[in-house]
Amino acid sequence: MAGVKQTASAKVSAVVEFEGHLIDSLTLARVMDLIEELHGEYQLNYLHIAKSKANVSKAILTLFKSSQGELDELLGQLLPYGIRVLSQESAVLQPTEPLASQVPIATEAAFRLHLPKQIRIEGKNLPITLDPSANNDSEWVIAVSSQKTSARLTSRDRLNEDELLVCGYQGLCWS
Amino acid sequence: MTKSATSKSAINPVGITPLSHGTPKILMCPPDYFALEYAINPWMENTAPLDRDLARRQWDTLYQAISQEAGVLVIEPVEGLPDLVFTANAAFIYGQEAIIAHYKHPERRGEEPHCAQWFKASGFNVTLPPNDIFFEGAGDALIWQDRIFAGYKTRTDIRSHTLLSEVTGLPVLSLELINPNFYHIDVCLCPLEDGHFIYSPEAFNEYGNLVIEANVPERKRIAVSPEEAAQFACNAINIGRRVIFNQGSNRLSEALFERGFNVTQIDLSEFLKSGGSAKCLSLRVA
Repeated sequence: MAGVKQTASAKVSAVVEFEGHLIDSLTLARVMDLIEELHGEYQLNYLHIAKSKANVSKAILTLFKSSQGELDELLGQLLPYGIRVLSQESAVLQPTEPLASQVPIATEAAFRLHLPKQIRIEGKNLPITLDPSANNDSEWVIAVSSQKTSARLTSRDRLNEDELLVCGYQGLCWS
Repeated sequence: MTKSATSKSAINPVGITPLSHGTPKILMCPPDYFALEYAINPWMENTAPLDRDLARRQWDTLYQAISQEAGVLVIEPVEGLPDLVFTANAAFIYGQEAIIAHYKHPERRGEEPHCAQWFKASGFNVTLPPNDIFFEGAGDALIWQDRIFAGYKTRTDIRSHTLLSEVTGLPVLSLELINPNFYHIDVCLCPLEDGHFIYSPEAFNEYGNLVIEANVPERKRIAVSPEEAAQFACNAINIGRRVIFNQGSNRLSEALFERGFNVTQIDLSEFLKSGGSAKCLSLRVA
């Protein structure tokens, strides 16, 4: 899989987001090289490259380390580059009606290649299941049950009224 | 005795000076309360005592030199804010937009409301960075041609660069500062008006140097030696064909002469003790 730098020795992970002028400033290259220098591993989950030079790009990486202490140290080294840890925060949820103005990310093609496996809600990680009936012609979203006990990837036209929509990337885990 | 350029009668009242466009305008702050009261950069540590009278004379000389090339506006000094004299850090200016500094070190945060008030009163659209994002004004963001070179890590938070591009619509090239002596980008890089570019390669890592080399043609780049950089050669003021910087960088002077610039070197030794020089003591606002 493209963008994966991961070995079997990695045990703990964190999902981080960073945005800015990542390409022209070589910030993305700097961060990836730094992760390797610090013997960490990463998976590139999502990359949005801005269409114009004045707009910012965005990247989401899953970082892997062999212990939580080492992972925390790695995260500390990466903070000056503007990373934000997503997987340690709870997902942002909102009702399906009215439809969320902050569109869930699953509609983007790059995202579909690397679907998140878990979502963090109120301190717990829930597995994200794929709805086999999801309609490919409709926007895809991540929906959480009203009791917040399950999460599924589905299409907008398959949403239940009482489900909650996941907005943005916060709380998503790719490992 | 020469009358100080900033005796009370000579100072434009703060906040009511109209900012006309077309004529360069530089903001300065008299060193009435300039002092070494704390150490927030390596230059301030274990330095010789400040000679305040000499600092005043040096500042007056700089004021006069700038006045030959541009209009000078003055912001009122405030007791207890010794670094307010370094107006370059007060804000980043783009047209009528002013992004006010939010300092990393609490020692300087008292300057923020004073400067925000000045810019508001002077007709600028003022933007304040979020509380958790540090941004040190034109000390860490410099316009070159159609883009901004912005420093980060030592003082300014890279996340502020998104704000820079939102406010200006310009692309931002983020450069990591790796040497604590060059804690702001304006002490190691100076864009000149015709596309020339003074910089200290040693202040940047390989990524930063690659970004500079990819954006600035070789014939436009003027690399200073580490010795000249330590004399704050890059902390230069450029107004038209005039470049003003601290004395002692003759090789740079020659390089600038060859490219058609006129150079003014001024002894700013007392301000070097605080980690600042000509550019730090000025902010172009128009």
